[in-house]
Amino acid sequence: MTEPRPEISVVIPTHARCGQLLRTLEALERHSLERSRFEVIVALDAAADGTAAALAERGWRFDLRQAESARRAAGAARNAGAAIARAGRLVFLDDDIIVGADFLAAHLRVAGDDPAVVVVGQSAPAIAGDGLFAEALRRWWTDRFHALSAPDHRFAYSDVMSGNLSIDRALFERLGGFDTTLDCREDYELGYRLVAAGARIRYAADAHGLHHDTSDLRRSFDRARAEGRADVAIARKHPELFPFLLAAEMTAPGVRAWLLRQSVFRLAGPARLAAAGLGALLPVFEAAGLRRTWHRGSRMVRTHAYHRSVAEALGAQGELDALAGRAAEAAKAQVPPVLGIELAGGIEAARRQFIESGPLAFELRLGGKPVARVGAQPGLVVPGLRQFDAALNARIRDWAPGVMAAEHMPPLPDAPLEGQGDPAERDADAGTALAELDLADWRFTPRGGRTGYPLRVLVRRGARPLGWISVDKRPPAGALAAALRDGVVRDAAICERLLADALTGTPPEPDPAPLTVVVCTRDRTERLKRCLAAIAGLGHPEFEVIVVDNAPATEATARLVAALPNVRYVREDRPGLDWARNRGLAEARTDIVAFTDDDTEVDRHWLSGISAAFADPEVAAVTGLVLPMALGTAAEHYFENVYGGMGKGFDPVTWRRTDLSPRAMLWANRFGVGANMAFRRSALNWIGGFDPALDVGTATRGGGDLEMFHRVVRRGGALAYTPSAVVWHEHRSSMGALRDQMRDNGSGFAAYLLAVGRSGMVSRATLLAFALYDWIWGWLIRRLIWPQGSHRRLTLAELSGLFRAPGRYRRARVTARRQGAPDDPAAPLAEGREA
Amino acid sequence: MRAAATPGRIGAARPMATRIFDIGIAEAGGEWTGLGGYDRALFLIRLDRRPLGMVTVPVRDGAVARGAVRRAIGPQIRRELAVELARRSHFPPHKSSAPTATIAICTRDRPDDLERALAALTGFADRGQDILVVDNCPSTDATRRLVDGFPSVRYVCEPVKGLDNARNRALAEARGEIVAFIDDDAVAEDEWLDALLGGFEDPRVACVTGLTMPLELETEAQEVFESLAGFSRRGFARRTFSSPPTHPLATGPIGAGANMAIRRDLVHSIGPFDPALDAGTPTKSGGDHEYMTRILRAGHHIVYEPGAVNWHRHRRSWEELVATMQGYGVGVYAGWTRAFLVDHDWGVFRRALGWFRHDQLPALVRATFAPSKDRPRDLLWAELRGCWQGPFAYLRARRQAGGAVID
Repeated sequence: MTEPRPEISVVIPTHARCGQLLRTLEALERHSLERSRFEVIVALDAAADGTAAALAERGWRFDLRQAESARRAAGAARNAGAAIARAGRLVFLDDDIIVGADFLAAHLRVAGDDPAVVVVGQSAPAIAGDGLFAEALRRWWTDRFHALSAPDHRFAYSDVMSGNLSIDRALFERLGGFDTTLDCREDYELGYRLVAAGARIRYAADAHGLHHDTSDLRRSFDRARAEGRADVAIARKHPELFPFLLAAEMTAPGVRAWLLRQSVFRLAGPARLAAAGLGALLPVFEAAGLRRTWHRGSRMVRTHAYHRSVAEALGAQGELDALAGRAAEAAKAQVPPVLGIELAGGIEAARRQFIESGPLAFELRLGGKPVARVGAQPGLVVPGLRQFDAALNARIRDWAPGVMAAEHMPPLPDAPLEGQGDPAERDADAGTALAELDLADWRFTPRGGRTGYPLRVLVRRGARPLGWISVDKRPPAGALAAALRDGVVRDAAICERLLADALTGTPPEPDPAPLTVVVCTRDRTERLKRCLAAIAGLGHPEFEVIVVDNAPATEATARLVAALPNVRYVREDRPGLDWARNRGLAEARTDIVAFTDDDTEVDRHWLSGISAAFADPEVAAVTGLVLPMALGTAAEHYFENVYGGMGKGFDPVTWRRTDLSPRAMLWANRFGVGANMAFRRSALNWIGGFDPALDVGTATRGGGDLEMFHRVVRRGGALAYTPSAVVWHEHRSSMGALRDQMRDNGSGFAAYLLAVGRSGMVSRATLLAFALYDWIWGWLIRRLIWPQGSHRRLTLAELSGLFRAPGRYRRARVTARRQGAPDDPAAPLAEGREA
Repeated sequence: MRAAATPGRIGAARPMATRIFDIGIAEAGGEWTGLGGYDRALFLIRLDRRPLGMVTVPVRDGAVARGAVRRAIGPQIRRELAVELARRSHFPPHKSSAPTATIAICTRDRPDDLERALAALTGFADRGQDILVVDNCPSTDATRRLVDGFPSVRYVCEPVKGLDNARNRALAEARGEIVAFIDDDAVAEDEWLDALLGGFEDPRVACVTGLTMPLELETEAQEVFESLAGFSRRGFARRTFSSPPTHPLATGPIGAGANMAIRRDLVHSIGPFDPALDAGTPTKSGGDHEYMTRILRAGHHIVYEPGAVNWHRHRRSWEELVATMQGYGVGVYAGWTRAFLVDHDWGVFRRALGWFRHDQLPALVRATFAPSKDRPRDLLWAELRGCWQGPFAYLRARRQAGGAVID
């Protein structure tokens, strides 16, 4: 009668722990697997303590055999046990692990007849005592198995723990079993060879045992010494692994590594003494309840023990360097290529690419920009789809906007985008070319008369501007569309706006209200011509254009306007932009009046943006997005990108008194710019008109628009900033003109604050705190001390404007009064709503 | 669109009332009228059922203007939208075997609130969950009689006063692998339990908390509570906490006992809730956060899952609000006292000092020199008073709880 061959052989190495071993075996007796399906082999090492006799004394309910090895090492004992095993799968079990009833069944199930699968079981710590060491040990084991149980864990050689491990016997024999020269970490070393041989490591949480780890602090230091010796041996056998062993931290650059080297090579004696002293103090720390100190101290002692034994095993510091050198050579010989996986084409395509190429290392990219990287390392298994998905999932906040927005864009056009010219010599220009890109149909429109690269592109979808992207270098011929697409998907903010607009549904277009467009100008007929041409191209159904000619020196403007149909000419002889604006308000026949300057070019959707914002009856004023017409010169670049430009971002904001403190409300430059603003005339009845003592053409040279915005919000009107109303503004192109403008900005802003103070709308204390702390210190002086890209010269110009402002404001007030301005220019024009 | 969770106005119109709406993102372009008596409206915005964020817009003349909500959608909501779209299309939820769950409500003499909570819970689709009401030291049998009306709900009476006693009783009586706790004054949504259980897919996770939204913001006390200590400040992004990097004592941002689920077998590894903490004892609160501290310290992960939404009715009167804030102060310091006395964690002193220096002191200075409605000084003082009382309250509660043996 031949007994059937068992399916699984349990190999338990033991050394002089008879009582513990008997408990482990008794647990196996309670096992659910039929006795004929497994056998148990107790591998005794050289020690003779009567274990063999004790085992023979009892009858066991399973087939129990004994193996003996001559050397006192667990690896050797396991090899001896494996040598007499009969089953196809070996389970290595430590003699201090009490297994559950389904332990073997779980190993078999997870292995599933696949000889390449190595199963690591769970040995939950059952540690007696509640001291800090027991707690730390418990936490160490828990963290270990937690890490293994993570769904996306990428297994490594060091996950192969021989305390609770099953492996195909043929594979084990082919690899030659455990390295018997190691008396510690022989399982890691086997794990390294397993990974190299392509084994698949699996973790089985239900292959469960309770590990009665009886270690204590002193034994943990001994263990650290054994690990040091073992790591040296492993590094000598597999040099490429050395950089990833703890011993390699001695070869790192930096003070810590230097100290470590000194403490084990040069000053070994004193360091040893210090470690012993620290070790003796640990119980004191524990008794005093100094947790962190204890943890730090015990870690230091353990680290020292480890490195000391590394040094002893190496002999001299030169050996360490030699090891590092060999590791570097070995690493150089096997650098795996990193596969770049582009996500912009969709996640499914990226997954397919990953599965088809099965890379050792890969990098996820979005529009060419790296999003996540999974590297290769000796001893790490090849990443699988789980790791791929985990890498994706971990960075989902980074790629989701780009990838999802790409799905909402039309496919890239087949024909190359026109209009970007091709003369390469243009690239040598210092300036930046501008263009627009409409994502609804990939229509690409160069702007500002300059082509080439670097290129800044306003991305929009129909009327809605979404943001800027840059193309710094000339893309290969015909690849401009792809380069633009990459730029868009890299920009999370643009993509998020695109998605939100697509998913919130387009609100029904309100009936466009009749509008008046007022352009105030003074002796700049050429610019005005361009401005009026753009206005003539607006698609709004019903609007009137009024040109207010402010104290002109010539008749050129009058002649120009006379030649244009549908434009009304009004002359305002009192010099001052705010006189002209008030005149425009008075002349207008509609309730909504939009203002722009003569040095702008309005976007074709400008008026629809403004009238949509006025659909909310609460809104008294609207401001819009002002973009640079050109970025060709250093001054234009400085104003737009360093100083902050005139744009207030690509998100709509509604400013209300209730959301702002009186002090925050004084930052009126956040509300908008006079080059692109509109008012509800009926609201101005209780808000008041523009202050004629302010702005261009008077001594104050600015601030009229800001004072108005402040008053709108201060008196309880809502001010809506809408990026969908776009105006392109011609910035000052020379540095000299820019310096003048900065000076005017300083003087205008100060004059605005003086006007606010005079009107009594804001308390003196608030005004003073704002002026001194927020503006002069926070905005001006701080930029003088820490310029961060801004020019001190220009900041000084702004400051000088500020100093001249009080005198100028007084002069301007006198002039304005003489010209017929009311005593309180900010007074409501009519009785009405409560301020 | 549903005018969620606001069954009707209570009493006459008060200043500072906020109407709460629960809308899908596709409806954000709409307009809302008939809101007389409210001066603000809070919108919880979702993609299908997944909350993305909330916006508050003013109500003018009883209406929220067309497009106002759409305009108020900011970058955070937009990011959550993109992430949720991506998650939905590329990481479909696993149809793995969900763990079994017991829903536990610990209550004491609040049958009206409890009835509303049970009505919501008993309407859930059956996923093998059972519902357990733990009646803590009741003074009447109203709760028992109420529960008798819900045949699917199990009733247990825990005679020893204290919310943590009731929680421990719930852990002992529960049948599911997961115990989901909800307050008696909170109303859970249909997806609440599924969302909480989904977090346990990762075996490292031992506790999942959810998003608690205000059920109503009708009184000033409720408004101030929501802006000062509201649960929805925890945001709308799913987060995983583990130590390190999270400091085990910094459990405030993780969640609260009003909306959390834990693995029942935690009791075996980290012990039960500390019966000297939380409502019904002198320490008044803090039992949930102290437990999270222990969960983190043991190496487990905690997930904040904003997809698990319940709606909590905040205290309506100012007196109750002051008492609540003081109770928070007591609870935090009582929890830290326990961390020091029982777990020998010296980190509590640093934590306490840091909280005072970076949070409480500046707030007090602001409230003194720049008083505002959102940061009333009496609440800050109440919290500080509570902090001072915390350690003594803990010692007293421990004595009452029956001596030194806690776990």
